[in-house]
Amino acid sequence: MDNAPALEIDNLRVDYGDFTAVDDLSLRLEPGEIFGLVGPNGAGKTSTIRVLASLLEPTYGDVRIFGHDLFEDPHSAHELLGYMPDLAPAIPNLKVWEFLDLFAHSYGYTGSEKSDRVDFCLNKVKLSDKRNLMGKELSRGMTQRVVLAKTLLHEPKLLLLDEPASGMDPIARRDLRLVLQELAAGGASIVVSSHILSELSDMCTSVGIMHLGKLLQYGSVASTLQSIQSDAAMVRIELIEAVDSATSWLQQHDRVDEIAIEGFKISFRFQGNKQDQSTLLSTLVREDFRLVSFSAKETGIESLLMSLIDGE
Amino acid sequence: MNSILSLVNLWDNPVFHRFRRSQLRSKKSIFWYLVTLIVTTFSIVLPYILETNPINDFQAPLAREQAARNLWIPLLVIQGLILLFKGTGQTASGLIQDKIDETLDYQRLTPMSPLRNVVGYLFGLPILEYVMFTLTLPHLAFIVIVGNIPLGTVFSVYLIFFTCAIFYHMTAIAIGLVLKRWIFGYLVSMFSVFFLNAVLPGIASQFGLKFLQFLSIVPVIGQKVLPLMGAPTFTPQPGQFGPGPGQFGPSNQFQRQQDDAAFFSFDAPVPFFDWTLSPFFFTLMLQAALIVTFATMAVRRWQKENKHSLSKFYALGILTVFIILVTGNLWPIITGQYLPFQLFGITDIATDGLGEILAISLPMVYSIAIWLLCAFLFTNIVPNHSDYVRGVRRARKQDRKAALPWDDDSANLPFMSLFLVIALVGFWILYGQMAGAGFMSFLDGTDFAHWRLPLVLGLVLFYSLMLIQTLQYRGTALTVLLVWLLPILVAIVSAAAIQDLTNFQTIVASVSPLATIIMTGVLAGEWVGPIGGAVDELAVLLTGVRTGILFLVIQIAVLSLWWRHLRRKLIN
Repeated sequence: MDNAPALEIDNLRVDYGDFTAVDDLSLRLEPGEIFGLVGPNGAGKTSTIRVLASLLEPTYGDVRIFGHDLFEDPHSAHELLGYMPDLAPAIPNLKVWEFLDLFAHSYGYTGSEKSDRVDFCLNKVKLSDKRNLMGKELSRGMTQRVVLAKTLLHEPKLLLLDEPASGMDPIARRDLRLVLQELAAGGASIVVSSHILSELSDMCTSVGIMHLGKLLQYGSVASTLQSIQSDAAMVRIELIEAVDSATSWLQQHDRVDEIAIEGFKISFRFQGNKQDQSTLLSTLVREDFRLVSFSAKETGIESLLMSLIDGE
Repeated sequence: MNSILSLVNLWDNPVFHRFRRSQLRSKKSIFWYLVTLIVTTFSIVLPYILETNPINDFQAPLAREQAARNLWIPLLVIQGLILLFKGTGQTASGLIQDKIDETLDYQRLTPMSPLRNVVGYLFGLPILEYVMFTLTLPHLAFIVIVGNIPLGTVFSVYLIFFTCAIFYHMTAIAIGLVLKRWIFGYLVSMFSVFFLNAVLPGIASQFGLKFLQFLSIVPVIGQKVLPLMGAPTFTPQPGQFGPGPGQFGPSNQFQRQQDDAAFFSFDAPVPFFDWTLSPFFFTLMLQAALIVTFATMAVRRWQKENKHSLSKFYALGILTVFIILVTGNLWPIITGQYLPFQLFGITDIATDGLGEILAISLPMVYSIAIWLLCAFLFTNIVPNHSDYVRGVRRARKQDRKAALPWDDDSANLPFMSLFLVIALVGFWILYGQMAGAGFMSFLDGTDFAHWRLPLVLGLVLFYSLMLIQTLQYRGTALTVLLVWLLPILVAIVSAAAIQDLTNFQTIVASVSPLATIIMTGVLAGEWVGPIGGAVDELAVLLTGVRTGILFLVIQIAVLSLWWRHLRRKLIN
């Protein structure tokens, strides 16, 4: 079990009646990896995470957590798991410290070890000064942080975080990123879902893109971004004259679409890598279009993601 | 050993501590403490003063001891309202609230065992009510000391009281893990307590199902508390038992009264085959069995939210135990050892014909009770379509055609037919004993008459299974309304309008399986000597039974075809 992967998923399928929420998902995560699961609403991210947390029974498929079969030996798996649901609630009629005390005790901590652990986790999410607030008095972002503290209490080896940053302000998001990176550096593995890829790209070591229950792309952040970015870029040119003829010429070009004109400036989407962009620029010059500027901007991660999903 | 200790050690249970903190916060709880103290003190002190020092001359003052003893029942009522009613409602609604908030999921994921979690919720959710109960203990001490009540009696009563409380709270947990709205949980669980304590004990005995009255605290109050207040108690007389097989005449009125007392008294021994059990012991046994059942249901739901509350094997076990209890309780009657003549509302044995009425009614009541129980069990163990499809897909992945017959996701009809087999075996034991005791000599005596009721029972059970499996809960509820109840109402209105019972009414009513069972049961009798116009009515009933059986067969055929079509559609 020592060398076992942090998480292994084989052929996971989840059905709700006729609707297939997760379709033959297979995945492998190594210790220390932060895996971002990205996809639009309804992609199957939450279903996947709920299965991994053993809160949802899949139609079929195998899940092993550090070598422990989740369905055969859930008790061992639970000791290794930390789960934070989407829009995670805190118990409204408990104080923050009582809420954490409940779960510290449930995970087997007692006496001073328990209170030390509660203090440590409260400090980690920067809520030590709010320890006596009642659950119902917390803001959305504060509740997320309290639940994150609860998730960290038993030092889980595998964290499952479903949209953890929703409701958090930018500072709390930055803190969340730092906490997760610190945990990963300590050997914990993290699965974190979001429908915003850019939110994950700067903290994850690997990402998977889900859509309609299928894992469309899966790999390191760099390779996944490269593969979905492919050769698309938004190009913007500025001319001194002959905007109409330049527009007509661009419309004939089979790698150009989404043309927009604004005075002497033309923006368009160009399918091609840097080499192709250079060729396009020299062709425009050769065609005697009097250019003032030529700039190519890589397509935003979100629109690339959308184009990938649309392509499917 | 350690796990058992950690299970019972509430002080080491984090869930219990959670509720200790949240429920006993002073702002909320002080109000309830004051209400308890004021109401209990007023209810105990005032009657005590009035009974020992009457304000008028007509009433003789009661001895202090007797006056104190008389206050025990009002105190038990207050304690029951606190722990049995309020505590049960609080348990169900609190659990549902945790489920809605999804905080139950957090607790599910801790390494605490499901049973330890359930125990934490069981004693934690109603903790305010336990403290309120504790505030009534000084009043109890006053009653016990001044009333000079033996401590053994106090111990027996409160042992059953707490068994009842745990049973009801466990029921509330099982309800809470199934229902989705806290208000429904609160109302359903409170209604269950009211039904078990106030409605069931009276009704159940009337229909021969005496053991159901032991789901409440009432029999133990009858056995242990009422005698302290001077109420007459049932004392079995040697040689009291009845007229013997085949003797069902109106003779020996005294004997009949003895038999009635034996069967209906809350404090009388409980008949169980050829033995008699103390109500205290029987209540304890029955409630312990039900606590285990509800704990099993709660643990199953705790482990997996979409698991059925009962496994198919456990459901078969419940049906078997229920049949054993019914048969055991009815044993002295069905073997002709004694005949409680008030059963089924008989008031005059000379004209009503006790033997005949029992011969008709007991098999019919058995059939209806078994049917209701099976319908309840089917709603718990028949998979919904989504789970069924999941079971088939999972099985195919493992190179099997379908889920294993006893899996939650399986809709295996041969396995489910075991319910029919057990029900019919129970029926034949009951019927065989009654026939041996000479009851059936009053009846038709034709071969078909012997087969009619078990045939209808079997068909109705299979039909109910197919209905739930094919149409699921909503479709079944609609069918119950339109096919089971509406035809009976139409037949009643039509019969009332013409003030007669004709083939039209029985045929309309026979669309309903409920009416078919009742008509079949009633039809069993009176074939030997119909008097006057009765011949026509029996012929009309027979038409109703025949069309009822035909309708049942047609409905089963339609549902079977529908299920085949649906199954093909679902799987593909």
